[in-house]
Amino acid sequence: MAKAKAAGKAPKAKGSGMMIFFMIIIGCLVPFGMPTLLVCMGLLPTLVALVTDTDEHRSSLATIGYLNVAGVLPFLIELWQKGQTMEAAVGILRDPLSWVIMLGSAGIGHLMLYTIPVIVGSMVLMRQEARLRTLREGIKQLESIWGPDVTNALSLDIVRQHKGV
Amino acid sequence: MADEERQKENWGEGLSLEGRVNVYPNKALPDLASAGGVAFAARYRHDVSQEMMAIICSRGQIARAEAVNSMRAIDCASVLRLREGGVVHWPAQNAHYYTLAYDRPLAERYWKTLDEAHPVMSEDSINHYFVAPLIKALLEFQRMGLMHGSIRPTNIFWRDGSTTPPQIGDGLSAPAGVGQPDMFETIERAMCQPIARGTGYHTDDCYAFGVTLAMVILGVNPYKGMDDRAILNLKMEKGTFNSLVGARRLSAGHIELLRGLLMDDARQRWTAEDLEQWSTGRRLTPKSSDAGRRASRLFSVAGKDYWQLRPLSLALARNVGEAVKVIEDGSLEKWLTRALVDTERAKSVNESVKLLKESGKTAHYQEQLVTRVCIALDPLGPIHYRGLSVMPSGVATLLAETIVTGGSALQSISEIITSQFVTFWVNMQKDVKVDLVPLAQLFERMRPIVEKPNFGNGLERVAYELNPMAPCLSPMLLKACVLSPKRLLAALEHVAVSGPPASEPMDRHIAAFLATRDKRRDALFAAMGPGETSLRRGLALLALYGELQYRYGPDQLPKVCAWLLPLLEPCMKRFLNKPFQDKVRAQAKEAVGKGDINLLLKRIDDPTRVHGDEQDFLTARLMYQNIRKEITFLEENLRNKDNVMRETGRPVAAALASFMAIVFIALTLGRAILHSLLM
Repeated sequence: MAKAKAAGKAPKAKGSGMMIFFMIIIGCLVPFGMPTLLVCMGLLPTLVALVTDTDEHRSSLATIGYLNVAGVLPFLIELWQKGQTMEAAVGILRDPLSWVIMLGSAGIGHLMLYTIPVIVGSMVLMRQEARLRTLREGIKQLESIWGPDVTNALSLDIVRQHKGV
Repeated sequence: MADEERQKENWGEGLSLEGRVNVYPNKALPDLASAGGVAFAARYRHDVSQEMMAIICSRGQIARAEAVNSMRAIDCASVLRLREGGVVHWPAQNAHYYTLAYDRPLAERYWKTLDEAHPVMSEDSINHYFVAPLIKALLEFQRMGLMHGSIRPTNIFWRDGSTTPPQIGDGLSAPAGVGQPDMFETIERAMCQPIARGTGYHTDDCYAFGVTLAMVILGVNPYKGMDDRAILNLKMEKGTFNSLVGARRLSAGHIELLRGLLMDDARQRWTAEDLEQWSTGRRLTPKSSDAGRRASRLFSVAGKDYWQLRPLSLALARNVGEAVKVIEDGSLEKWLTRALVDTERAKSVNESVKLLKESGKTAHYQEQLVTRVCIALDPLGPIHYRGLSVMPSGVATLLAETIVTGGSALQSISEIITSQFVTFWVNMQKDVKVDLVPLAQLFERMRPIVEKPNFGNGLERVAYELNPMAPCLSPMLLKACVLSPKRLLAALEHVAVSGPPASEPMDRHIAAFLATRDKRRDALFAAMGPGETSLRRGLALLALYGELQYRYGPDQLPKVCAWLLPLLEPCMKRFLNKPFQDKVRAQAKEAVGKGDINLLLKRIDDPTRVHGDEQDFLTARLMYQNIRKEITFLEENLRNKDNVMRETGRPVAAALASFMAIVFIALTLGRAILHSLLM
């Protein structure tokens, strides 16, 4: 019963955290107004990643999010420099290059998510295979030095009996 | 002139006896052979003028080495002077033999055989030239507490009527009684097998001298043509004096002398002191006859009639089945009481039967019953048991001989000891019982030793306890004549040169020999028994021989070490680390090459090494478990490659992305700040 309660509490706590995060974001956005909100449309890939990333460490969110934010940031600065007007915001959004840069940066993140794990994983696996060979060799050496009884937990007297002593 | 030439004659290189006497194997002296072996010429190493002979005890008999010191101390013209006794290496047979070096006798053997006839000498000549010198010899034997055991005409060196004193020859090259014809032995000793007569008493020598004297006086052997059993029966029936002298006419002096010497009752027999008194003119009056008392009616055993106790006792011993019948139906007791009128003897018989029955029926009950009854009937006689007739002091020599020859009597001898026949025999003695108590105690002490089956005990140990100077009787050392533990390792090394004769340089005999002569603890030999592990056996053997080498040498024993090495294989296998095992093996081989048993022991039984090896094994075992866990983990990873890529690659991608973003953001912010400053 207590376990069930604990299991029920965990998702609730996660959900409330997300709610507070969104409320902060929205709260932060209110002072900047609608133009900023419009430019933040470029962070859509990050929002999607936020919803779809189930990884414990949120690696996908981080990879896409960091690069997406870096891609949106120049346009936000441009908007703020132009006085945060609706016309400036629409002007930015009308420019296809703006979309290419904002969404392209997220795309680069996606690209990295697909390529880097393969490269890094292959390297790790190669190292592990080499380690495995070394360990197997070590086991053979141990058995050849100490005999088959090194593999078990029999008493020394029984081990010596096996050796004909 | 001839003597001088002989002295100068070069006899070549002799064999060294104790470093003082040289024995010349190419100079055999067949006429001087003794019961123990053949004779060879010998000389002092530094004085070639002294003509000597060496008797090589090569006939498998155990020489009486314990009597050598007493014999060497006898300096009497009528005893062949023993100069040296010790072990000689005989290269021709690659063997060691116990050797006795005597002065060469001055004359030839007095009698070549017992059947020859000699001219009868006058009474004065005999008394003056033959009896008087030999009385001196007997006095010397008595003074030294030595029983010669081989006094007979064929072992006396003299010439009829010679003025030089007769010389009694060797008596130590074989056990007392061996080589001595039955006619020169007392009735009780003649009943025994020659090897089982044991070392007798001074009176036995006097008896042999009496028989010898009778032959010298008569000039012939009165028993000529008779076999030993017939002589014995005649002696038992008539008494020795009557059987030997019979109706022959002798001088009164000689009759008196012979009566005294040939008394069948040892308590009444003349000794050397009595002879000395006789020679000075004092006349003693021995009893006229001491032939066994006759019963008023006969007692029949196996179809033969007996009137006296001693022949009856012997007959009962030879017919066990019938003897048991007459004992158990009471007819023997009735005969003793009514026909012999000897109630004391009847009581002894009755008690011996009762004692045996009270102790419960044992194996060979019938033989044991007859043996005890025979002892009760003839207390001075030997112990008759399962075909053996043995004097208590003869058990020692009989046992040693049986071991050497591999005879089948070992079990019977063992039963003689465990059945306490010797104690019973001593208890049956009347007058001399006190003197025999140490003998009984000795055999009481042997009883538990016989019953212990482990190494260092058993009949083998008894053989060495009862024969204090017997060599090691181990089959592999029989040719080495090892009298002392000091020579044991050297002998084993010598034996091993031509290839080890056994799987290991240890057997029950060597263990018993060391336990007795070197006073080793039983526990040491308990570890060598067949029931022990080969590891403990090998180490115990190595420790024992290592200590022997340390104490007595020799310093280098490569062959013994090589012999021991295969036994130590379990000790090497004790090391769990195989390369270390090989290293220890190599070190052991090195120690074998040096012939150092202690170094060998140190190499294979170093506690620090053994403990270190165990600790290393436990560490290796732990390491193995850890490796096994890591392998399982890695194999699991390799089975789930996607997981590995995801778990290891994505954080890297995130880190790289964050780095790139930070750089890009920094550049953007820098550009914006720069732009605003320029504006």
